[in-house]
Amino acid sequence: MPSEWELIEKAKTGDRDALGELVADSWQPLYRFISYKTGNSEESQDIAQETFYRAFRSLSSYQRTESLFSTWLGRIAMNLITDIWRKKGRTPIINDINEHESELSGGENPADALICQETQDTLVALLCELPEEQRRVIELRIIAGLPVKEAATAMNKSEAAIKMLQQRALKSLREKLLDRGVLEQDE
Amino acid sequence: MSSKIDELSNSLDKINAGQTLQVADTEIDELLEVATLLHKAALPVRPPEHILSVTVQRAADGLAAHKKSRHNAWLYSGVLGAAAALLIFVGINGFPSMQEVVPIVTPAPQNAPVSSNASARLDVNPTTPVAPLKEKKTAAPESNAESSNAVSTPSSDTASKPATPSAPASATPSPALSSLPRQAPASAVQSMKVAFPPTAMAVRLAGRTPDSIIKDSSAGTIRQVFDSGTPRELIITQRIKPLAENDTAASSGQQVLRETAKGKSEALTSLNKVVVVINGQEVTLEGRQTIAELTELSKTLSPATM
Repeated sequence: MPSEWELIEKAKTGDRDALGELVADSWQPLYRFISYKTGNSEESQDIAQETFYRAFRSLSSYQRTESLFSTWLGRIAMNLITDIWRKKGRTPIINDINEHESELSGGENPADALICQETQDTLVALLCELPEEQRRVIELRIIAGLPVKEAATAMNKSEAAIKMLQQRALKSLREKLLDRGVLEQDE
Repeated sequence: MSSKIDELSNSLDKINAGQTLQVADTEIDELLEVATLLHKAALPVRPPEHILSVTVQRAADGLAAHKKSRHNAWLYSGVLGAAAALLIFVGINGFPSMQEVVPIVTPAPQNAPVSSNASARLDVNPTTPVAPLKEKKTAAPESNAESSNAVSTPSSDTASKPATPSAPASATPSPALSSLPRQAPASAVQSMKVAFPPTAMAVRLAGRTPDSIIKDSSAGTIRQVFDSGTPRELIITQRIKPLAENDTAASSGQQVLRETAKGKSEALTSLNKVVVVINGQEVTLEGRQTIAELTELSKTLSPATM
């Protein structure tokens, strides 16, 4: 499996597959980071795309030794968000992008490092036991953090159907987590 | 039921936006607990295909813009380089050809005879080889007549003095003197493009003093300009080598000289030209004067004597 830097080098030469791989790997943590910052999942999608556009437009300025590619993307995204806030008359929050490095690199947030590897493995296993549509709606709506509209488009369903499906999926998963003892039944 | 589904969906959106929630409904709260657990697990997930394709396309656009900007940078630098090269080329070729222009620095003494004055200025010492171009250009006014410079400005002494033995009055040098160029150092001989023959004397226009004398050693010509810059400007071009002995190199040199004069004449007005032969040397008179005037002037030409 090629490293991130190898993918970047291939993408520079116009390798579309490498570009797709790079975007797919970076998209989720970037999108979630933007969603956390903007609080608007639909706007986050546009900002994520613009972030990738700007990142690849100035790819020559990215140095391998500088930081992780995902951190570099996060910095670009943060600048974009700051610009949007300025346009909207909001005071930009000064952020140190390095504080978000673990989030952006796809790892867990140190502050929320409550989920151990074992629980993660259990979650993955239980998700795989769910029906295909339920598993997919959880991936899109909760893990990826997409808005209902985007999830509906991705699954070719109505928004109402997605809302129904996500409720059923969460119920099914909760039952499985209770069975495995990951969650405890409230008294 | 519908309101619960909507409330759950809205709550999920808030969790996605990083907000913490307090929900009154127990059932929704339990489901949100699962959602929070999934969120914290930060499981990797591939984005939906339609989002991925749009994002990859956007990234590709960025990459194309990056390549285009680099291409443009190369293009601009190439254009700038070409423009700089063109400027240098024009700058070099825009200067007048490096001919030997020897301006007359010191005005001629009024009482000095014209013949001696002119011959002194055009003194090509037959006993010494013609100095290289560099030496001629640096001819200082104080250089005396005995120096090896091809053209020197005479002092009042040299102008009034009779010809010295080293510069005989006769156009034909003695055999002993004519052999001197062959005895000159090899380096000096090699530095000459064309060794002017010992008889290399400029013709003299009676009663007139040239403003400048141009010696083209490569073409074997002497060019005198009278009344320079005025409507009465007269250019006399003289081929040093006899017509019968002209070689190809000399002919091409002469041709270049004529083209220069032609170009100059076109820039002003059309010049009239009269060609005469004096002592086997072709002498061309060019000017805005009429042919008749030029012919009359040509009759006043005489071979220069020392």
